[in-house]
Amino acid sequence: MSNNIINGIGSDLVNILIVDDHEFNLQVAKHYILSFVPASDIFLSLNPLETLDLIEEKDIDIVFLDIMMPGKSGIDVLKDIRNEKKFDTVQIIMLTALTDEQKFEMCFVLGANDYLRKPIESVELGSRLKAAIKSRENTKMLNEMNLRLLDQNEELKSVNAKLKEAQFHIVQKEKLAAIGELAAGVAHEINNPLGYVGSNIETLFLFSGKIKKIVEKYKDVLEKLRNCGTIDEYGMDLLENIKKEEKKLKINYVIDEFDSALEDSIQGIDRVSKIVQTLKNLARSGMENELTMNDLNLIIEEVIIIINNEAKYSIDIIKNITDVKGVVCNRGQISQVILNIMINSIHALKGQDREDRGKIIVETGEKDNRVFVKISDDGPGIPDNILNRIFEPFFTTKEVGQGTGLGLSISHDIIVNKHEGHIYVGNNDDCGAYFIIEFSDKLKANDDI
Amino acid sequence: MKSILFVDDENQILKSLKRIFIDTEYEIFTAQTGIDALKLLRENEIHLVISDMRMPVMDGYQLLHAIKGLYPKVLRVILSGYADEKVVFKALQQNVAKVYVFKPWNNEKLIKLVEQIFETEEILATNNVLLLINNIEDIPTIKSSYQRILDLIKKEADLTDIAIEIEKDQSISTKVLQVANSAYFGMKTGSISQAVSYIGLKNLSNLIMSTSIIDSIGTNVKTEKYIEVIWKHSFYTNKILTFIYEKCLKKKLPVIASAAGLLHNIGIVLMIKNFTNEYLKIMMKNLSDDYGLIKIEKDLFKVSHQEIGGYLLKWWELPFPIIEASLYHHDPFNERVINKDIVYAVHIAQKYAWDRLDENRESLFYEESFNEIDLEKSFFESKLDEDFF
Repeated sequence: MSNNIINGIGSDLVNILIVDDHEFNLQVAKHYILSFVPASDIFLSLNPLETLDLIEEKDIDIVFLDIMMPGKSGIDVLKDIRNEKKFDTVQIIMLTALTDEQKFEMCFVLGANDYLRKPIESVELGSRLKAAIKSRENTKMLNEMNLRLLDQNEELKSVNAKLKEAQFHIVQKEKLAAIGELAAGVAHEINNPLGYVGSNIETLFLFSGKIKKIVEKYKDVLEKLRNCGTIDEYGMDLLENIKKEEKKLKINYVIDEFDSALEDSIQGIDRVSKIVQTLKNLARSGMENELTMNDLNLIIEEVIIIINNEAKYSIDIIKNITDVKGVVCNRGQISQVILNIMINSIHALKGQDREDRGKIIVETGEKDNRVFVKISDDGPGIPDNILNRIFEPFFTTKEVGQGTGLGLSISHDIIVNKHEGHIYVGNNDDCGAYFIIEFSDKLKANDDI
Repeated sequence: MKSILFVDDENQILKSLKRIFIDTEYEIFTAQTGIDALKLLRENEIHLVISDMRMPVMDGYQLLHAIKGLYPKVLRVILSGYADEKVVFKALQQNVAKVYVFKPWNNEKLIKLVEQIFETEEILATNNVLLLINNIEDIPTIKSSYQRILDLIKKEADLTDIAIEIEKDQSISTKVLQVANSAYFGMKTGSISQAVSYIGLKNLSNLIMSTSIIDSIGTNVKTEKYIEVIWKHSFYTNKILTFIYEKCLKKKLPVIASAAGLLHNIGIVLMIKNFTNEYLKIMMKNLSDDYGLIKIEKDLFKVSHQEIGGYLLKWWELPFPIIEASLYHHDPFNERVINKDIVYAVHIAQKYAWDRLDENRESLFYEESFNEIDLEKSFFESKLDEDFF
């Protein structure tokens, strides 16, 4: 007999419920079962109506279920059990004296796992029980594996999403770094010709003064010669000719305009120098982890120089800046964030097809000891249903190819993760949208220079 | 007549530079390569070299470095569109160049700069200064133990290696910490590696240099009391200087000037050390009168403590702004000053440092200095009371 003993599920007891309207059947079944599976808890029930509760309460693994019972048939109980998802793994063995093929088939269709003929026979019960325990064990294992797979799948999905985001960030960063390097190189190249062009114009200014001075002297001398009365006819002819030539060449006009032309050129050169300088500052974003003390207002001025061209024909940029304390930040990255928000704003305003000029207001200040910048416009605003998605990677309302949808997610990453700050978005009460960037006052500069 | 050599690989730049100086007395030389420049230096008497940075074969740094070795008296300036901060810093900190001018330049300012450089140089090289220096028995030199650390910093060695080298010598590390803690605002640390990371590797060079100078000028019973006061004042000055920059102007104090406050009164220390009796006498008499002190110094020694300090700092090859801070700290509006902001800030810092040490002192003070660096006096004073002491 001992080699017929079936081990329980793992090290646990096997919980078995027998439902039959005859006490005798219950006792026989129990007796046999105990001889096969000593490590089992056996529950007996004469009342089919309490079956579901018992399965639940006793954590039943295997149910022996009589078909013909008063009150409720085994088939109905079977239906009830199989209706409950949580009892999916419970093994159900129908007890039957019937030979009705149709009933058998119905039992299997309804989800019975096996059947046992009455009167109960030891060998048959043993093999059915063995199969049920095995089956129960397998189902349990399968379920567990299934759950684990689901978990892993979720994990993979989120890792995948993160990877995708990271990859785009890297690509974007590399792009920016490459642009930065290029800008720095170009700036240096421009500074050489800019150096001598600017210097030469300044020098020409000086030279023109000298020439003007001597021309005045010449004129003076000629006038004196003309009036001195000792010049002969030939000499007077020469003097007359030179006067005509002077008129023809419009020398008076040339002299008047000379300095003015140079002045304009100097102004132009100054502007180019300023733009190149700004580009160079923006390009410094190559030093990704560098944190330095910066004047936020200065960064804003520079960004405005860069975007001025985009804005000047249809948009007014209003600076509402107050003297704020220094901000520890990565200058290049913060410039990018502000640039990005302002460009979005410009695009929104330009897409509006409006008659009046658009307005962008840049405001800086301090609140609770923290420096903030607020950028708002009087454009169309941001639809409420996308307000909370606006910082998600790849979320864009621009047409395909117009934007990657990464600008704001990168901005969010820069402000929140890299600078321990906050970035808020919302709509103004009247019209337009606003962004607020709040800087942390906890960051420490890490630069040597 | 002074002569200037311009070096740039672009001929148009050289031509435009030459044009600028047509109305001046300077003799102008130009060279398109480092090799040509060295040849001109061999064959002519040249006083100032102004060189571009990026040039083929021999770049500006290499050229000026070579000139520094071959003709140490020739003054050196960089004029470049290349603005990598690390390169600028290295050139100035190692005294390869006195000043770094960025392209595009302004003609008038460039002429002015050349004048300023020559004039400051003249002060430092007058016979009076040289005579006095010759009378000083032993000009303090940098101890070899400090030199080893400085060499490591110059080689841009690993931070931990440098910290280990400093910690090797107990007395050096104690002094370095003492100087760092008392001279840099916001600093309070007990370990070298912490100090190093707080003030930054680049600041370290000036810190070690200053410490070694302070360490090398010994005291005796007679001078101890006075020299200690001067150092205490210098520490305060440097602390207020960093405070002005970081807390008020919201800028980082340029690293090359990070020891400007520490060393600005080195001249007085030297005078006390070497002319103890005479100097202490006039110092005691004019303790609260800078102007009087300078005047009597000039009468008695022909030079002031500003000049003697400037000379020594130049001799130790400290960056130019530190030299200027010593030379002009009582005279910030002097036309010759190139690094104006730093000199104004040191001028303010040294006054407020004295105020803290000695309430009765009435120092020579140009209040307009506040305007020059865009600082409101009342704001500075209230912030100083609030944050500092």
